[in-house]
Parts: sequence; structure tokens; C-alpha cells
Amino acid sequence: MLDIKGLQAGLEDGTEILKGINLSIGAGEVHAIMGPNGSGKSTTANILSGKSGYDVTAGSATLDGADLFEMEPEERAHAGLFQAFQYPVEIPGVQASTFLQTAVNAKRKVAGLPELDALAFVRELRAKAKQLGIGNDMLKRAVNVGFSGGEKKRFETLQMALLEPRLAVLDETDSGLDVDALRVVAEGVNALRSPDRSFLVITHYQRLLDYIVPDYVHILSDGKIVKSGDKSLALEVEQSGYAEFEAA
Amino acid sequence: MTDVFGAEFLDRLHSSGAVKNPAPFEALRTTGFPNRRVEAWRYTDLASQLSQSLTPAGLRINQEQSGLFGPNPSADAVEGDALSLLNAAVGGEGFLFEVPAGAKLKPVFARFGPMAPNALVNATNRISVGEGAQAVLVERWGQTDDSWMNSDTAIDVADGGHLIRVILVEDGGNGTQTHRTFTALGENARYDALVVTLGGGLHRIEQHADINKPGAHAGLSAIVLKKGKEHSDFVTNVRHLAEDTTSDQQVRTVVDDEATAVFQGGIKVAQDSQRIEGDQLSRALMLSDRAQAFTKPELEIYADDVKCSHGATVGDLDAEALFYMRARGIDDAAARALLILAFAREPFDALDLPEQVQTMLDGKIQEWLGVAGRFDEMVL
Ligand SMILES: Nc1ncnc2c1ncn2[C@@H]1O[C@H](COP(=O)(O)OP(=O)(O)OP(=O)(O)O)[C@@H](O)[C@H]1O
Ligand SMILES: [Mg+2]
Repeated sequence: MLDIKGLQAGLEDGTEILKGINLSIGAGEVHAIMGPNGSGKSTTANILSGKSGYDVTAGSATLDGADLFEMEPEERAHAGLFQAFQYPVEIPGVQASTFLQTAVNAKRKVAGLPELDALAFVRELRAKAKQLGIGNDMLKRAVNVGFSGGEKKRFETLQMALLEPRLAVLDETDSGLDVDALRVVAEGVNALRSPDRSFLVITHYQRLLDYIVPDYVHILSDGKIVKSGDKSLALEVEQSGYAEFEAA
Repeated sequence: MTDVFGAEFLDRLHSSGAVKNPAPFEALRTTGFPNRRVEAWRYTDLASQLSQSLTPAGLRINQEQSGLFGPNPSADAVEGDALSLLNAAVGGEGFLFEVPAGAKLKPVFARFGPMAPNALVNATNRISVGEGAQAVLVERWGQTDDSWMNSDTAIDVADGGHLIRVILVEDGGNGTQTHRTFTALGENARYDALVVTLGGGLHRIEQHADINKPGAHAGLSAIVLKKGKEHSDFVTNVRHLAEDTTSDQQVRTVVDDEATAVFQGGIKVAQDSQRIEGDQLSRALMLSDRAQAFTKPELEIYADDVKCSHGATVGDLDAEALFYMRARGIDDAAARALLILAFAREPFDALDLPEQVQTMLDGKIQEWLGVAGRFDEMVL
């Protein structure tokens, strides 16, 4: 489903961040990426989504065979890519529910489906929000404005649930969540698991992976995947840190 | 001495037989119209207006509710600048809106337009809000041709009265609109004005407010949306002439293409007016390199116990927010429209507009953005 080959990328000023990433995620698989602060995890996610400010200097990334780097950010979303951001952006004055309806309808339109009117949308929104413990009050407010850290992460998860992506990249969606919220969000993710949907879960904590059990775990260090393994690799990291994986 | 600015315009006006009051006409004939060397007119040039051949015409008034609304019989001249003299010279009749003491009105909607194309419409209006009365007046000034609508409105809000006044200035054509308001506020009176200007060739809207008694408040805000070669000049002048008074000015400007928008915001605090709060915030969004936005705050404060804040920003849309929306599949144009709409709506927060009024204005903004009806607030 997702194929990243020899990806090298950095900032526009020439600073290198990613130094040759190879990663293949098959349909229905869950991959986890762990790695020290500043190793390039979010950068990888941002580059896949098409955030500006980065230069790809080598390599490729395809989703279902389509070249992501040839697409605008919204086209990547339409193709089924979703990034739950580590730091969701506050958008004053834009009502959360309006934002969600616009996003859902944009995707439906591209897929040739009729747009949902306010009534139909609100029905679906309510149902999915309830599962994630998100009340009406939050949906009435402006996108992420005044949301607590945990509320922001729940809201990212709600967006994922509504947009039903092919590939969801979750960038530290567990950080800032209390234990109960962690379980709710993880259940939300697990409810979406299906043979034709894949996940790339970026996390610092093995704990999340108890809930969302990964098929593969990769260690990213200094812009490279230095080790890949099964879920036991996460336990190893939890116990002994990253020192032994540090790129030479 | 025939070469004052606009002399030929005045000659044409005179020979058309439209001059009813010689004194203001002679005064205007002597001073001429203000050119751009006059500080208050630095950004706005009347040359093309004054080169036009226009036919003096009356104001067409359409209002939904009758009774409170009628022609203004007195048409007393108001003390303003050359444009007020022009109005007085022609003796432009306008409307009278009187709210009896203690009345609490549902929103009143009125529309004003010229009777004929290429008209020069002058109007002198009066609004009076009685003691403890509450009213919401929504005025829509509009035209589809190249007329010039020029008006003076005198308002007084008696003790404890509250007037919310929306002035929607929207032209389909290349018209000119120059409107001045002079408001006097009694004790604990409130005047909350929101000017929304869209379209047109040249719009200059002035809001002058004298806060004469303690406890009174003046809100003089505007939403200015301009594109093409449109020009807007929004002028405020609030005078705190009594202690314990407050004022607020929220101006949001969006300029695209080669449009120009000016905000000249005045706050004056007289010497013995203590415990004053005056806020002013002007924010402009530039959607094109050739668009221009000017902000000129003018603060004159002669008392010591005064909290006045003023700020002005000119900027572009938040790139992070745009990316966030696009990453959710919202295309660039829609993402921009959502952000601009949010920005333009900001002055609503400071006003307690009835829902139907806010929805109407919101619709106008969405229409301007080319997204009519797409981003209505959702009821949950
Ligand atoms: N837009 C940017 N401008 C400047 N530096 C950047 C930018 N994006 C990433 N970097 C730098 O690139 C490196 C990798 O950052 P990245 O955010 O990808 O790390 P990370 O692995 O996600 O770390 P963390 O675990 O702390 O979230 C860091 O040194 C970071 O400061
Ligand atoms: Mg990160």
C-alpha cells in the first residue's frame, strides 16, 4: 500500500533530516515507528502529507502505486492518506463541525458520492463523536481552539474516523492522553482496523502498542531506520532505551 | 478664484437648478471639495466623482415596517465637511427613525437607493432613540449603476437607550457612497454600529460619536471587503466628553486585486474625562500584492486615568492552518474561504446582533467569497 524507497529529505536551507528511508506497508498492516526526539519521525509524516518547507532530494513514496510527491496535500488526502498531527493546529473562527463537514464532503465529491447535507452529516458526526467521548460542545467550538492536549488528540482521531483513510499516520496520538482517553482512542483506532486499511503509528511509548498491536516495529535514528522487528522490539526499547540502536 | 477643487461640478449643479440653499452652496463654492492635500482625505481622491455629470435625485426609501419610519421633515444641515455642505445645499431629504422612550423593537430593515441611474442622491437623516429604548436598525444602501449617494445622519440616543445599527453598503456597479453619521450619547446610552462595505467604486463611511454623559458606550466597527479597483475609506472619530465611558472599534479588512482600504480611527479623550476605556483593533488581510491597506490611528488623550489600546496588523492567511485543512482534503480555495470568513466575522463577537441579522450579513460575506451558503454555522 505505502512504499517509501531511499527517501532523503531535509529543510529548504539544505539541512539533511531523512537520510535514506525504506519502508513498505502492506494492506491491513500496522507498523510502529519509535525513535529518539529529533530523529525525523514527524518529518517523515509531514513529507508524506505534503507540508511545505521541506525538500525531497532523493527517493520516492507511493500510495497504492500513485506518486505522493506529484500530488497536492488535498489530493493525497483524497487518495486516502491521513496524518494525525503531533501538534494539531488551532483555527480560530472556523467551527469544528463546519470544518469536518467540509472535509468529508470534499472527499465524497472526489469519490463521486453525493455530498452529505447538514442533517445527514450531523447524524454521522454525533455517532462517531460519541464513541470517542467528544461532546457537542467541542464540535461547536473553533477547530482545536481552547482544546486541551488530550481533546486535540481525540479530535484528530474523530477526523480519522470520519474520513476513513486507506493509510493513517498517527504521530504521537497517545501523547497527552490520560489512561482512560488512551483506551478510548486506541479502541477508536482498532475499530477502524480492516484488511484494506493500514496504520503507521509513531509513538514513544510501548504502552500504546499494548492496545494497538503492531505487526512491525521500526527504530528511526538520525534519519534512518536502524532496526526493524516485531512487537517485542518495542519492549526492548522500553527497557534499554535507544543507545544500542544509535546509527554508527 | 474659480479653480477650487470641484468648481465645474458645482457649476453644473448650480445650472441644473438643484441648489435649494444658497448659503451652504456659497460656502462650498468658496472652499471647494477637499483634495488629497487635506489630511483627512489623504488616501481618497474625489476627482473622478467630481468629473461626472450626475442628475440630482431623491432618496428611495423601502422599509419593511411602517410607523416608526418616515421622511425627515426638518432636514437640518449637519456640521460636517464639504460633503455635508453639498448635502445641505441641495437640501437632500432623508429618513426619520424615531424610537419612543422605553420601546423595545424587533429589528427594523430599511433599504435605500437612488430613483434613477447616474443620480446624485443627497439625504439628511435623523435617528432618535428615546430614554431606555432598544432598537436594531439594519440599513442597506445600494445601487446597480454609477450613482453617487451622499448622506448625513444625526443620531441621538437618550439616557439608557441602546441602538444597534448595521450599515450595509453594497453596490453592484461602480458607484460612490459617502455617508457620515454624527451620534450624541446620553447617560448610560449605547450606540453599536457595524459598517459592512462591499463592492462599489468608492465608499467613504464616517462615524463620529460624542459620548456626552457618564456610563455611555460607542462601538464603531466595520467589515471591509474590497476587490477589483474598489476603494474604501472608513473614518471614525469618537470623543469621550464624560467620565466613565467606553468605546470599541473593531475593523477587519480584506483586500484583493488592486483594491485599497483605508481606516482612519480617532479616539479623543477630553481633559476631565477620567476612567475611560477605548479599544481599537484594525486587522487587514492582503490577498494580492497589488492590494493596499492603510491604517491611521489618531489618539488624542488629555486625561490621565485612561486605558486606550490600539493595534493594527496587516497580514496574510495562516499557512499552518491552510495546510492543516488541505491535509484533510479541503482544497486550497475552500480552505482560504473558510479562513477569510472566520476573519471577517470577528467584529460580530463584540456585538449582540439578532440571529437573523447576523445570518444575513454572514450570507453577504460568503457571497462575496463565492461560497454562498456553503459555510453557514451549523446547529448542533
Ligand atoms: N520546519 C522545520 N524547521 C526547522 N527544523 C526542523 C523542521 N522540521 C524538522 N526540523 C528538525 O528536524 C529534526 C527532526 O525533527 P522531527 O520533528 O521529524 O523529529 P521527531 O522524530 O518527530 O521528534 P519528536 O520525537 O521530538 O517528535 C529536528 O532536529 C527538528 O528540529
Ligand atoms: Mg515528532
